[in-house]
Amino acid sequence: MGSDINTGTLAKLKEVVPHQIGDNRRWSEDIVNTLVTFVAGIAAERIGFVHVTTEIALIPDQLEYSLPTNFISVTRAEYNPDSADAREIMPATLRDFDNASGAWRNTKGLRPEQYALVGTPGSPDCVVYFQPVPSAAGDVKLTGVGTTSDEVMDDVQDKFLVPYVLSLLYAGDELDLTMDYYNEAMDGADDLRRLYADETMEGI
Amino acid sequence: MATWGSLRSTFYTLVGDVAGSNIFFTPAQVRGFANKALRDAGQKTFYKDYEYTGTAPADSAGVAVGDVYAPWRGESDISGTSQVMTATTMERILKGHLNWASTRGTLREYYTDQRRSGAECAVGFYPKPGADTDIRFYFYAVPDEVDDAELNINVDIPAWASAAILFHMLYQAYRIDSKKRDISVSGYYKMLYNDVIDSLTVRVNSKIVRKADSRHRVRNQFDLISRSPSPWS
Repeated sequence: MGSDINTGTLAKLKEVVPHQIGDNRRWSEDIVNTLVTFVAGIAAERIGFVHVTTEIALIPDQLEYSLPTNFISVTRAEYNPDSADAREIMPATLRDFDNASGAWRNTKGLRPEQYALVGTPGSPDCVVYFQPVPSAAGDVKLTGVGTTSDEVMDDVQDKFLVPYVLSLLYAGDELDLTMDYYNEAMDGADDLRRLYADETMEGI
Repeated sequence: MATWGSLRSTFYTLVGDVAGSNIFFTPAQVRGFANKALRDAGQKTFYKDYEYTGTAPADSAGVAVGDVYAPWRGESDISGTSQVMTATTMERILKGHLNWASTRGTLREYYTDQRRSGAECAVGFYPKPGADTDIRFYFYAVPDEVDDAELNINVDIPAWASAAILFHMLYQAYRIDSKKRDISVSGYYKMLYNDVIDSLTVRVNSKIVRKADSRHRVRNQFDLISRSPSPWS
C-alpha cells in the first residue's frame, strides 16, 4: 500500500495530531508539506527505497554527461540496455582511467567500458565520464538509489516520515517528545532498510 | 532541490519568526547562518568538485584559484597528451631536487604547502613550465553562497541533503545570544545536522574510492606535526 508522499504523509500526521494542522491551527499545511519534502530526501538516502533510472544518449566525442539531481548514488550502468550488444559498464575513477591509458581523454571507442563520477550525485554539477570516449551514438542506462516526490509506501510514511516531521514540529517547544519521535524514526529506518534497501535479502 | 526562498521561510516558521517582521533574526543574520552552514558542510564532506582549466605561462610558479579548498587532481598539456600531475609538497621538492628553483620542463607535480597568502588556493608547479602550458585541476570547492536577491536559486548542496543546511541554521539560531537561545534545542538540531552530514560523507567517499585516497595525501600537506608525508603514505 502506498500514497502520494505529501498528501499521504499529511493525512497520517493529521491522525496523530488531530485538529492541529490547517488554517488557523498550530501548524499550517504549508510548513508541514515543506518539512515532508526536506525529510523525504533524508528518508530516501537512509532507507534506499527508491530506485531511479535515466537514459543518456551518447554523443560522439563527448566526454562529460550530466547526472540528474534525483540520483543519490549510481549502482548500475548498462550500454544499449535493450539491444543484443547490451553490456554492463563498470564503475571506476579518473585514476583508473589514467592507469588504463595516460591519454584516455583522447581514447575513443565504440562502446564505453568504464564510468566515473565527478561531483556528488544530487548536485546539478555532478557529471559522468565514460571511457573510452564514445565514438558513435548509443544509449547508456544508469540505475541508482534516488529520491521521489510521488508515491511512497505507507510503511515509509508511518515509520519514518511522520515521526521525523513531528520531531521537527515539536523541537522548539517539547524536547522530550521531540527526542521520542526522532528515536521512533531511527528505529523505523532500520526496519525499513532491511525490507527495502536490498530486496534480494542478501547480506541481512 | 530546495530554493533559498523555501529554506529561509521554513527557518523563520520553525523559530517562530516571520520574514519581513524579523523580530528575532534579521535577513542578514539568517543569510549568514545559511552561508556558514554551507561552508561547514563543504569543509566536512568535500561534496563539491570544481574543474579549473587555464594556461600556465612559461616560468610561472603556479596558479591561484578562488572559492576552493584544495586540489585533488592535476593535468598538464590538456590539449595534447594530457599528462597527469602528482601531488607533492614543497618539503619533498626541496629534499629531492637540488636545482629545483631553476628547473624548467613539463609539469609533473603540484603542491599547495607554503604558498597561500590570501583567500585563494595557491597551487605550485614542479618543475616550472618551460613554455606556455594548458592545465586542468580538479578542486574540492566552496559551495556557492545564498543571496537574498536570488530566492529562487537552489541551495548549493545535493538535493536530498538540503535539510542539513536548515538544521545547521536552526542550530546557530538557538545557540547565539538572543531571546531564542536554548542550548538543548540547539544541540538537537546539531545532532540532526551531523546525522545528514555523516550520510553525505559516506556518499561522497563511496562515489570514488580513489578520491578519498588523494584527499588523504592532500591533508598530509597541511599536517603541521609531520610536515612531510610519512614514507609509507
